[in-house]
Amino acid sequence: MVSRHNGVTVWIRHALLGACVVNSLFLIPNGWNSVVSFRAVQGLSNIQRRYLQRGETYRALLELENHVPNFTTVRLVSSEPPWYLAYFLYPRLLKKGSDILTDRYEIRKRYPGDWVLVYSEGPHPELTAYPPLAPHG
Amino acid sequence: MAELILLLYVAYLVGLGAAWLRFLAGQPQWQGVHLFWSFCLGTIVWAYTHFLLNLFNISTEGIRLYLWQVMLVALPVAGGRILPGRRCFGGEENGRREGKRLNHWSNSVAVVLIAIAVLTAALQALAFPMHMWDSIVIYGFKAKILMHEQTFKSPAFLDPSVLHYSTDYPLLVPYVEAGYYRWLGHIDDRVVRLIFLAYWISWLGIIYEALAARLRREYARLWVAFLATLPVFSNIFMGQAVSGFADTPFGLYWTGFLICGLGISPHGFEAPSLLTPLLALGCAFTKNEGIPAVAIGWGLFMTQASPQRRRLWMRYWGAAVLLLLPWGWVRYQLPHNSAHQAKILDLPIGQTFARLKLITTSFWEEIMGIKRWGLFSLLALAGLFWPSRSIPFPRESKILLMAIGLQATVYAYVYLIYSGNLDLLVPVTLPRLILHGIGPLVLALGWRFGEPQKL
Repeated sequence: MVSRHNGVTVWIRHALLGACVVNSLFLIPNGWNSVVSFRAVQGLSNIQRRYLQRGETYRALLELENHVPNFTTVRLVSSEPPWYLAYFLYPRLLKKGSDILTDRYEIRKRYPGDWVLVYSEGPHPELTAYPPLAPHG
Repeated sequence: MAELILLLYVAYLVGLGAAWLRFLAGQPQWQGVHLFWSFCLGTIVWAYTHFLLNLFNISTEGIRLYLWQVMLVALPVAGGRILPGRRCFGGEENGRREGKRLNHWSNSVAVVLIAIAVLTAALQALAFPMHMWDSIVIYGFKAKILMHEQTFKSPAFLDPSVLHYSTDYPLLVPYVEAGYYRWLGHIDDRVVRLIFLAYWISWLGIIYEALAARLRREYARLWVAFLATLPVFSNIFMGQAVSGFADTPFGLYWTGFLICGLGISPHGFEAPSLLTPLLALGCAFTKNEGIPAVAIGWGLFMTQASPQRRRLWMRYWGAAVLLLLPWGWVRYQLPHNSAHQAKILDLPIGQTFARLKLITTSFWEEIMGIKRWGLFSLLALAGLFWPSRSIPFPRESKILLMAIGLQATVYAYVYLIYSGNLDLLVPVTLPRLILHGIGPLVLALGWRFGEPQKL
């Protein structure tokens, strides 16, 4: 059994080494980039790193986080729910409001104890948070 | 500090898994291979126990969390003392044989390449927080909720008006992440990526050991170097080793399930098939794909087994179903709101062919893409179509190839019946689905082509 394998195992070892060399053409630049990025962001807080990652979008999110208190309910008015908002805003609970941007005032009236967040992308991007009309419900 | 806590947390998971491994295997000696298997089992035991505690409204607040964690380790240790002669794994031959060492320069190359790949993944994890879709929208969000609420029984999970994508998605990865956050006391979605590094290393580790159980270690190392250096793991992409997606954890449990089911015993423990119910739980509690995967695996093991062994498999199957029932019930109760929820479509035959064409061409283009998969596809094709008269497929390789083929068929079927836009779904899911199969494929090819251990 071993002898039958001998020729092929030599062949497969060379093939594997060749494949590893090809992989290295991608691994080494990726590895180098990871060293450069790691050193460049050393000492930064996670918030600063996130800002570098996501740019102005994250700055807007941070402003929102500073504005809307934790453990509140936020009604989202947006034509397409940006799911990642739920992650960043938690522990503020993001709930469905409306798909139509002009419904914002209607939603505020319907849920007077909740914050209302209007989000839209496209030619007129918007991220506006309206405080509750009746904060204590 | 966060990094130190993470190391302690991973050490706890390894210790927990080791205690259970020792209890089930009845092996007194600690060996290197146990590190990978222990992490694998520790994550499953911890995540599912936490889930069950939540299900039965048992508090894990404050100090109780640590008491439960200590108890989980103490339980198998005490069990091992009470039942000293116990050896749950029985009847399977330990396949480990020591061969003559082969001192070839390729061995050093393999070790250096693996080290570079691991270092790259570690630095990528430590540089930036998780940012890709599933890692934050699905798993990261759930982990945040589980950290703050300490249970899934909260409006964030149960209220259908809350914007929570794929609420009913399996919770193993979120529970593991949340466990770390609770040790740390706050959310750190950058350092938590190191857990995925541990998953990836464990995945490579169990593949290496399974290869080395049959081949010379030097060949096994070369196969693993090839696997670890695949560009898909170091590209900033969803297949990245530390992306925070559940595909690497799933790959670990699924590959582990197949290795144990095949009875491939790396040194240190015998007859690992008893681990299959636990690993099946790991698969199904990590990704929805886990349920068809383990069903396929067990189906194959049953068809290949002797009638006596078949009864044993039935018992393991029953144990896994019992373990999974609580999660199945909870999953049924949770809101089903994934945009990718598959619904059975009654497609005209023409459209079915159009979809099949899209699936096969996308698969071909993906797997041939050198920037993600290197020369993997060429090696795999050569390995699969090498005349079997000169080098026959070992029995285990055949079973693995059948498992991969059936798994791919299930995935293709889900694509066929998917009710949404397939053109959008395929590019974002296909690379990850391929990841599920490459571990078993490397094992199948490695066992066929590597130089066997000398008896």
